[in-house]
Amino acid sequence: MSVDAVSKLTSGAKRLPRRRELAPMKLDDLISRLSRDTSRPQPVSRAFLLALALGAVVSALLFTLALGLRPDAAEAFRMPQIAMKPVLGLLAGLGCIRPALTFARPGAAMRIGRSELPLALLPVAAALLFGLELQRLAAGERWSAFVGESLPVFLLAMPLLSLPFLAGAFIALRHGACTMPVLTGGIAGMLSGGFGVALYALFCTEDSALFFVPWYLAGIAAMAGAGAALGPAALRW
Amino acid sequence: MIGPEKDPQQEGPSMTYQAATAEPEGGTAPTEVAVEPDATVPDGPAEPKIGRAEMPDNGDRTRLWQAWFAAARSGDQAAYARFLRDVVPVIRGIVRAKAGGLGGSSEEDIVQDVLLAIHDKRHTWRQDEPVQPWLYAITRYKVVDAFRRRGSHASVPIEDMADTLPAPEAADPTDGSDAMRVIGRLEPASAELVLAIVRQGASIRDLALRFGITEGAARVRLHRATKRLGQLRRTMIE
Repeated sequence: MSVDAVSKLTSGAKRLPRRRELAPMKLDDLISRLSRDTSRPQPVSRAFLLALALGAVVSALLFTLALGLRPDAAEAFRMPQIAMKPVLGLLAGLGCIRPALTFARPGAAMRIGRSELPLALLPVAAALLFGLELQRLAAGERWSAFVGESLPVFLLAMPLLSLPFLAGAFIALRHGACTMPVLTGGIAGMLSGGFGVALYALFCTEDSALFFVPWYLAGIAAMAGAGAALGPAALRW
Repeated sequence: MIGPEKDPQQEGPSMTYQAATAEPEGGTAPTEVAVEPDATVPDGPAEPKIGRAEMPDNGDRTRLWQAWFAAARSGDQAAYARFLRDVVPVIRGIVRAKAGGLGGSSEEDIVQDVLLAIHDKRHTWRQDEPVQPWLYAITRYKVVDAFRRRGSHASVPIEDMADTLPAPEAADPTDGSDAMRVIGRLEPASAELVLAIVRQGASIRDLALRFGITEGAARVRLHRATKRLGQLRRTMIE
């Protein structure tokens, strides 16, 4: 028997029987102690929006230090296809805010409403952009457009830009009470991926939808996966 | 800045309480739902407590909980204590049903964990939503959490369970060959049905064919048989 097991055994033997004896007393004590605490914690939504704003500040700082706005930003974002690049990310990020908040409340029923509209628009916009670009390009050009030239930069920078959002979302969600941590973590991950991509799109000069639609979506999905994987550990309470 | 700190602009408890009685948020004034102190409660708590005799039915109780918890949010300590006391038996029931195997002291620990969780996470309940699903979700989560914690710390001192562990001679009769004794006590038709599944791995469809009944009827019979088995098993342990 290991030392650890012995210490557990003795400490447990000391602790638990006492609890059992005092259980009825302690329950009343507990209730009166709890009921005397009349402080009102702030709602999760407030903490969440604050945390996202903080995440945005940190991400923006990272962005300006490491990447910076694309040089031709003023003209480029007047073109619809290029303007849609950050919008894709924003759709994913904004659409996930209310679902994340809903799942931060135990037993809350998910109602699909207007605040989830961005999530419905995301695949439509993505398919439209991708389809139009596919038609525009000749068969020989498609592959090189899809692979692009800045993929390694994207794969490195996009998660880094998303992370402050993810950290903020997790910290705020811990203030709530997530009873479905995988799902909630996944939503938080998707949200962070969306905002991270939106920021990255301000730097990225690869303007073919064959590049940015699949890779941006893959980046968002990867962040969702990371969020779902981290959720059970990060969102425990 | 994100944790549950007090809002700096927040008024003191007495202030919010007065505001609450002036214009109740939950639609029902806390005074309307206040239940008279029950004189028959022996250990006379400071706040009124509902005696078993006046335990309201489910609909009433839902409304009471809703009103109490809403009043508690506005600083009504008595209503909060009443709410917490009143939910304890319900929580204990759920915990017992889901974590009965963990033993008496663990059950009470989980009940207290749930109460603490209710308090810590009280801001995650919205006044326009029913309080019961919220409460049950928290309880379920804490029960699962207790199992998980127990699972990860596999070395539970056996002394703690001395009172709850069955004595060696009262072995579970469904273990091993003893299971046959329990099945043998079933009505012959039910026993045949159970054995067909256990020994021959028959499916519902097989049963329906063999007994010449519909699949639905086979399902019902199987359900009854398993229920009866559970009863038998319990009575045979005792």
